[in-house]
Amino acid sequence: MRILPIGFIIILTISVALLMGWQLSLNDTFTLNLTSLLQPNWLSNNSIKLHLTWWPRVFTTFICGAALAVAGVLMQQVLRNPLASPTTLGVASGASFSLMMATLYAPWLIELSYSFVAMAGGLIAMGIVFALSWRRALSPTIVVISGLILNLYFGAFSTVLLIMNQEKLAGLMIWGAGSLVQTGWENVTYLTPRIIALIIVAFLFVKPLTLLQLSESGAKSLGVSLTKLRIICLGVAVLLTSLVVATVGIIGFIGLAAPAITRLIGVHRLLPKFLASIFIGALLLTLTDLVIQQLPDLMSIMIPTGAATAALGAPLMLWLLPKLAMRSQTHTETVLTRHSEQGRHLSKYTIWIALGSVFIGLFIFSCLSIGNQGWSWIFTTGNWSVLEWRLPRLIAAILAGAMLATAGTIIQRLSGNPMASPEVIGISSGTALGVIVTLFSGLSSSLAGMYVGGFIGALSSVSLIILLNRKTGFQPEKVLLTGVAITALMGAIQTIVLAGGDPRSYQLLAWLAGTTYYVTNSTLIPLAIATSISLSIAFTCHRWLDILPLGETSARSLGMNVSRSRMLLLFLVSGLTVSATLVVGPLSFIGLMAPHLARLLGFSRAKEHLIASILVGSTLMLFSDWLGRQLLYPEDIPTGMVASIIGGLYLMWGLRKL
Amino acid sequence: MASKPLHFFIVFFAFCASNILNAAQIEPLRVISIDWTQTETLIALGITPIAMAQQSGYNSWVREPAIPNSTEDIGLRSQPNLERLAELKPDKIFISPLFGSLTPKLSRIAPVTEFTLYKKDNITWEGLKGFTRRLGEETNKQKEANSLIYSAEQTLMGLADKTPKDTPPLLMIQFMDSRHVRIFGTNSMYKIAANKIGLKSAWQAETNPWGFSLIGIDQLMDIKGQIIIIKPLPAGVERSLQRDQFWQYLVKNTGQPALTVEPTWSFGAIPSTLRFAEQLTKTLNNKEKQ
Repeated sequence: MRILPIGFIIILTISVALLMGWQLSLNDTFTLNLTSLLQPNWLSNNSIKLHLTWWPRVFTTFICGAALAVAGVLMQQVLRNPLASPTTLGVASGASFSLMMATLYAPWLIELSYSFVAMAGGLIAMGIVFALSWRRALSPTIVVISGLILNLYFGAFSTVLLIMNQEKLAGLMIWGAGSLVQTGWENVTYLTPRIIALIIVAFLFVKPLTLLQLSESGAKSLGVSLTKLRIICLGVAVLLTSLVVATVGIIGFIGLAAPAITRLIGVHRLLPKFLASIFIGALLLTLTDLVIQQLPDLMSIMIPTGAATAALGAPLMLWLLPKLAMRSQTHTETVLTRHSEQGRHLSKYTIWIALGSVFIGLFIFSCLSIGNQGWSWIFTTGNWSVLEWRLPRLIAAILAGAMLATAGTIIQRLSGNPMASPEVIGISSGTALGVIVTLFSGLSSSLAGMYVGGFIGALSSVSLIILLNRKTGFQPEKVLLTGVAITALMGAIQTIVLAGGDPRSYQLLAWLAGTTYYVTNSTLIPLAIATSISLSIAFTCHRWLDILPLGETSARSLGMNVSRSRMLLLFLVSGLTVSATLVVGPLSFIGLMAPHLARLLGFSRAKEHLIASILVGSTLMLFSDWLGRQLLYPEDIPTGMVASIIGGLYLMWGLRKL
Repeated sequence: MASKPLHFFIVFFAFCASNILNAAQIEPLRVISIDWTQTETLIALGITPIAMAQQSGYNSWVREPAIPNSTEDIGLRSQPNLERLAELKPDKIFISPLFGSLTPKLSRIAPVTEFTLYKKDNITWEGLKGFTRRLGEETNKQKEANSLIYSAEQTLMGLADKTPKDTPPLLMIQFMDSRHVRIFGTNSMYKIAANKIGLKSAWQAETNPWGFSLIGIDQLMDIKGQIIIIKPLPAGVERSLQRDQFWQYLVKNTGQPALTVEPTWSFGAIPSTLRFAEQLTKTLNNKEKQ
């Protein structure tokens, strides 16, 4: 076991050294190129190029990789969640959002300092997360959920801004994809002292963190102040992340992958884990970047490193996954997903009243709208033809909301992880990948083509999930990690596409944002059939959903075939997600929000939880679809985005009370 | 007596025909265009589209020709507001295949004509002419299309005479942020404009169907040529370029000071080409004077 980690690091180092040596021996003699680091020959183009671009780039990748890896270890340690990564607390999305706002509405701030704006955004995001979880002494679950919601929230707003101003924000897309092109030593001299100082601070906390790893109560009894420890460690992690994000852009996956790989190669004690992660993170990023510079002309230009690490890291993660030893129940001990005894009961009346109000809503929203002559009520204008456009969208919103809510409820109860949602397990991403490939390989840009592509993508990601998890009995943790890897792959390809500035990305962005715009009458009937069938299956399984959260052993002792029921439920979730995703796009987040909202309302027994979240999901989508078409008339705000913005607000408010 | 119905029919047909002719003369075609390149050309042909997409974006990126006052906004190019479109009752809708997925829905409102200028190997002066003529045919403005092309060619010839002859090949770039540029080459409108006034593009490498490559400025190192920076510059870029040692070196290496030209729509048709050519000649002449 001792040899493996060292061997792995040595292999990485050798590959980095070989590539560096190869790139240095081009164009000029090796020694001359090597000396260009310190004493460039100001008369030779090659030497100057090396001194001002190539060398700074190597140093930047190294230091950024190390910083992200440390941030990753800290996050995973403090939050006790192997899925936590430096972007979990909303740092990157906060930075990205503040840059967008500044670019559009206060360009003078950017003139002042680009990285200051990004940094401020990241820190504000952290502040909000801390404020939301303060009452619960920064408990890991609450921190993770707050971060997640904030991510969605900023993400939703950013997407809206992006759809409305794609030309103006084109430069930010490159930043978002994490291009490491350097033109001088400015970034290196700025980052190095700060990152080293923060890493030293992190090392000072190895001991208390080790105690925390044993158990929370144990750490407390040994006199460790949990709140202080969490604030400092998360603060250091956030600072490290936002330094990197602010100067070079968003670099995905290193923060998640470096600690995961470290664990995988058998390093479990904290101090070696820190050291190994630093090296692995730094070497991985440098290696990726060197490989990318090695690619033939146009490809190396079009692929930013930040996105590429995610694209390369995802298959690596998938390959490593079966080898990953895991506890069968998550360490994110779950306030929000645990079975509680005093769940509120739903009376029949409430259900009927709620259903009734959905229909009244449908009626009102299809009659009242802004038109060419301002607000109009359909009975007074008599312009019934607009219903042809309006009604299918509203109905599709309701159906998609119901399906995603069901899928979300099942997957959250199944996995006991509050971060789980159909978007997270990778089916939505698979669908999106299929659509992206269809659009950009020139196969088809018609709606039918996009649907077929999406469906194939979804099927392949479901089969991938099943293939990789069959042997381990569909452990929720691993299923989620598979999903995270697929999502990372999709996210990477999406960022590369958006950063390239190809005008075809307009259409992609519009669909990705989660809109009912593309629904037609002919798609409604299969959608309605799919909804009714899958919802009835979900209800027949509600006993499983009550038992599974109790843990594997209890479930087994109650006579359940855990692995088979998990697989069946997974199939059901896939079916639900695919049908909903093809209609409203992959990023609607209703599947994440509706179950949480239902639980906040007090419904925790499976059947009631399902009913409540379906009602919440479909009502929310219905209202969002209507509101999205009125707010910026004649422009459309995607339904999914409006739903995330409204639902997120309520979730944040609800979190305070927990 | 048998001639009476015949007589009636003749009168009736004459009446109908005159009505149709009248209608064609009085009622102009109600046209909606989703794509800015089409909109720009339509307005240049003297047509007032009853609606177009994303007016604010058009105003900040395409700018000219200006949108007529009566033209309505129908929202995003990728998702034009269908209810509003239907209410406006157009006769014809023009879209680019880029938004081809909209065709089935839009054709329930009015006949949709789907065509584009921007595809591989189509961006040549011939391609621009073909695009303009096609739009002219679709809107019964063949004469206007031909005269637009003719006057554009005259103007470009005039500009070619005024352009300094000793100008090196052009590196036409647009900054995305302080380290990345879109460099325009083959298949770009900017290159046609430059060629038409007797200049060359220095970027020989591959470009995408829209005529540009996204590159880091480190890729510009070994190319000789006159750097032309196409505005707008993103916020903060100007200041960071002043401090950027590598950029300074790069510019010095080309042997020419970098020049800046006013914004024009990168994916435009004849009107934008003309505007860019004018800007280019003006900038190059100013440099000569200094």
